[in-house]
Amino acid sequence: MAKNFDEILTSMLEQLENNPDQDIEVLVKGECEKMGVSEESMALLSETNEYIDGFAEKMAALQKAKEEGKSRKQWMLEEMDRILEGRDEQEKAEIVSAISDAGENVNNETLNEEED
Amino acid sequence: MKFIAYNEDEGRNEFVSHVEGESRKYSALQSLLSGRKLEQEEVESLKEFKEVQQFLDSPVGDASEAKLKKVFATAIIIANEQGTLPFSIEDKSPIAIASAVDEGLNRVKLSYKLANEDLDAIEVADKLIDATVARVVTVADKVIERGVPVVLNRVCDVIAKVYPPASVFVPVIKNAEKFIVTAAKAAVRKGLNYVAEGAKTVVRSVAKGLDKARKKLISWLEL
Repeated sequence: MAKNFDEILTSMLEQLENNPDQDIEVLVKGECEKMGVSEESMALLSETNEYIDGFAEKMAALQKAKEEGKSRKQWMLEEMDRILEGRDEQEKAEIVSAISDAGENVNNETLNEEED
Repeated sequence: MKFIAYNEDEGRNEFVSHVEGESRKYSALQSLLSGRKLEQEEVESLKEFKEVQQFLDSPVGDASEAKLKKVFATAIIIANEQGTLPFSIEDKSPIAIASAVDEGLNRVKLSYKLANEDLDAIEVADKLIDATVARVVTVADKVIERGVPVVLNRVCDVIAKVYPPASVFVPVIKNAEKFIVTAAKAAVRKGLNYVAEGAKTVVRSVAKGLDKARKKLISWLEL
């Protein structure tokens, strides 16, 4: 039977409340099985949760770097050097241009939408 | 912004300054927009849970954060499949969903900490920018595979997903508010208002740089 969003959230939070040490991955898998979630959504969820972990890891790395006296820019430069290692100068310039455009495009779209 | 070189002499510093600047602008614009969306709606409490309160009270970066974010992401994906999600997620990619949950719940926690004076407004604004930059780096690290040619349009499109709009992360904030005690909810709202107010200075400087008058934006800023 379909449950609404609040019911699904409540069910998972209740399980965590009853067993605070429960492994979150086990809880997520159990909820998906209980609700008969499709393979496609399971794959989407697995990848989404990998990104949530990835964001947390990078955020922690950035905070640690700042505690060690590095600036956000220095940290980002080191990360980009690692990510772009082995590529020629032109390719590096093209990739950073694409990354740079992403944020700029989003902000311009936001400003244009709010103007309408 | 187009870079013709990326090395010690040219491009490197400009690139990180540009990404940091756009992340600051994004954060400020969305703070203002989310503040306006939230002031229009009160959220009724459903049930309070220790897990959510612990998320609010724990230090920034605590392991409880990823746990709650995964609970939200799971509920969004299941409800979406069942057709019971009460809000719209236009982009159903993993990066977009993870980013919306990350941005929404970060704002809940940081606003709560601001209202309780555990962090000041500058620290909160700084952490929101940190989180955005951390998402940019995470996704860049994943999509730019070593030794594999890069499709530049794809990099741009995929990285853009780490900047979720307020319309997508505000429902995450409102749904988190349903599961916290009234006093904590009031603290979150107070903190969100402070953050929105503080964002006006940054948005004002952005608005000044625009060649056309942005009437709605300017009226919000009470210029």
